[in-house]
Amino acid sequence: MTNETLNNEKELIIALKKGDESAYSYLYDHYSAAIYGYILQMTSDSELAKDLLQEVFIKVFQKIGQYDEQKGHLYTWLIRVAHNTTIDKIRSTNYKKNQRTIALDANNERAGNEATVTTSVDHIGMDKVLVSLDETHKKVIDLAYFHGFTQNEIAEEMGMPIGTVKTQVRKALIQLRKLLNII
Amino acid sequence: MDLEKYISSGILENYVLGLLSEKENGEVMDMMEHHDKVASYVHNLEASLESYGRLYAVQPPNELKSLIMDQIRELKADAEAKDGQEAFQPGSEQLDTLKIEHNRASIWRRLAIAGTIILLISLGFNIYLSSLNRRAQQLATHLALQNKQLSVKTNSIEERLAHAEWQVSLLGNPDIRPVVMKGVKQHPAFNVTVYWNTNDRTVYLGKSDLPTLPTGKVYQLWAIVDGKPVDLGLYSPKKANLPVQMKKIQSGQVQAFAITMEKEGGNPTPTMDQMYVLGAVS
Repeated sequence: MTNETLNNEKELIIALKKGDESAYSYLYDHYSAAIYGYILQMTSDSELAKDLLQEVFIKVFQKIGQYDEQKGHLYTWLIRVAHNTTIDKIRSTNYKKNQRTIALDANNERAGNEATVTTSVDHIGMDKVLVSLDETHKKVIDLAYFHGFTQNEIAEEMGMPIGTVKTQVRKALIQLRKLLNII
Repeated sequence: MDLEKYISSGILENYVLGLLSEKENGEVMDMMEHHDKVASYVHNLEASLESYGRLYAVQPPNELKSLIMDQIRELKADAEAKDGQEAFQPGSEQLDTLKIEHNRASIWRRLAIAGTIILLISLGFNIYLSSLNRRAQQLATHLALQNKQLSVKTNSIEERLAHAEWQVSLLGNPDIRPVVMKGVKQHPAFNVTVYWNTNDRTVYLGKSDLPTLPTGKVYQLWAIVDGKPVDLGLYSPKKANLPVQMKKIQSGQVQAFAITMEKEGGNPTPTMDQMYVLGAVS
């Protein structure tokens, strides 16, 4: 199977479900950076993120049969797998023990990561999105999307009632869509 | 329900950000299934979040791809080996062929496993039998040797017993007369006894404490009959088990017995200066 035929997401999913090796190679080329970036946002630990990225691809291979394209984008599903895998790891006792050391390293890691992100954003030309997104909106999205906070947790973190969180989420995504449409 | 109101309620945005409960998630999925408008709105939200997420994309280290692809190849090989038809869900007509092939393969596999087990058992049994056999052989060799030794011992005991019986019967014979020969001047320490049957005139060498001989030499027993030495035969202390029968004295008056040392094979006449013992018949 060639890359041209894989361009279609439907065909990609069929090939992934068949266990086609080149489909996984294609998946890696087109999705690994997004998944890796996502995991880095969650963990701020590049060593851990490397392990987790491998685990995510193994889980994708094992669970792709359960993915129903009617219910959502492949990307959304992949991010959910990455999210659950990362949460499981963070909750595991082994990780908790080492968390203090990781937190110390995290600041250095972050500096490096941000440099990479900026380059990537410049390349795509979407830095305006991040700059223009309302700070409250960005925080609401990030807490939910990258950190898996619940409505209650967001409410507590941001010091606002739950009802407000719900409406802020809608407003944030509407602003995001508008900004994305501009560029 | 008013669809527009539902869409603008904010529930769908909260849905794509994973902020709803399980129950609410189910309701949204239900709505998506029944209303294309809801589904397409949700898909647009997901696309936006995808674009947002990709802003944070970071290229993972280069070596990760080959690591991950290796793992996927391994997983695939495992899945294929485990159960081909389940992992890749082929069509129904393919399924039958696959099943047959799978069954055939599993029969061969089972046969191969069974064969290997039988071979291993047989090998183990062979080793066990061969060690038993070796031990039996060792035992047989040992017993044969012991048997031989015993039989040699028995023979020698039987010989000695026969000899002793013969000696007893010899000494018990009233015709037997012992004659003690004493060491001559040069060899005063030695004593030799001959038994002489006065009836059939046979002479037996009885006891002797003569020393072992140098090579090429032998003791010769003489009888002095009518003043002349008569050869009664040769004697070597190493070889003979006393008493030993010597020659008969054919005729004449026996006066004495004597032993000289002679060259191997004996001498027709005694070498007088090599006389060891001498005893007169009383």
